[in-house]
Amino acid sequence: MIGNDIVDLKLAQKQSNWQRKGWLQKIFTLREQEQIQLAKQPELEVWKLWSRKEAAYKVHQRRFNLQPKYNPKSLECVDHLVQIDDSVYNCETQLTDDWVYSIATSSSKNPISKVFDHNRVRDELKLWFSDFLSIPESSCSIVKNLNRIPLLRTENGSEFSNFSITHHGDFSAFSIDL
Amino acid sequence: MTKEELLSKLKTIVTPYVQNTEGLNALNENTDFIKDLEINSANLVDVVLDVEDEFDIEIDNEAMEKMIDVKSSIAVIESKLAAK
Repeated sequence: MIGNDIVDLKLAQKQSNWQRKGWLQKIFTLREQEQIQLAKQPELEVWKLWSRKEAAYKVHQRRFNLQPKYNPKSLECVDHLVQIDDSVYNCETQLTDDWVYSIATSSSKNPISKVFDHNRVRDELKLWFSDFLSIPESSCSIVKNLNRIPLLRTENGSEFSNFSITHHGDFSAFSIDL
Repeated sequence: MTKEELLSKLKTIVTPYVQNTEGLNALNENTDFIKDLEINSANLVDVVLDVEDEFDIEIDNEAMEKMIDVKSSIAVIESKLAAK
């Protein structure tokens, strides 16, 4: 299982005031808050940890087909690992001047991952699967299950759920765990 | 406070974070913050903090985890107000 999350850093700066009273305390554990305070670039640290939590939440939700909920503090980042309940997920975080991107996995296989500087990630994913399966792109569609977890469905009824998509502002990405 | 008043206050609170105004115009009990209003997940915490300020209540993480749609948020606010 795989989960990913991208943060458009310029947009995040506009959308969120992470220094707002109570903001960090609602999202991050004490240990994470300390890590943010000690970081050379606290704001960047906020989004690194946030993207890891979001990516790990997605893996966890997919793995157990859980109903959506909002409790970022129930996940804790320790270096490249994210813990939630009795599960631990491995996270890889990439960073540019424009975005922070994390991929979380429940196994250590090498996932396929692509970042785009546009928002049409669903089309890109369909294109990728149509190439991979050697079928026309028009026969692929992305649907969501009752817990709003996306699935790729082909015309002949095959379903794939081993992927994750994310978009924020000017950027988007998919990751696939084959 | 009536349910209508609660709904109206909640609508005012979420408005600055909404990215889908059509969803906002059609806001009702079944409106989902992320799916229907396209509120960024990092802004959900701002909604929670604004709700705390507006209603002078404290929302713990257990309650916050439910606040992903209008119906559950109203239920959380009502129960916290009743406990005051």
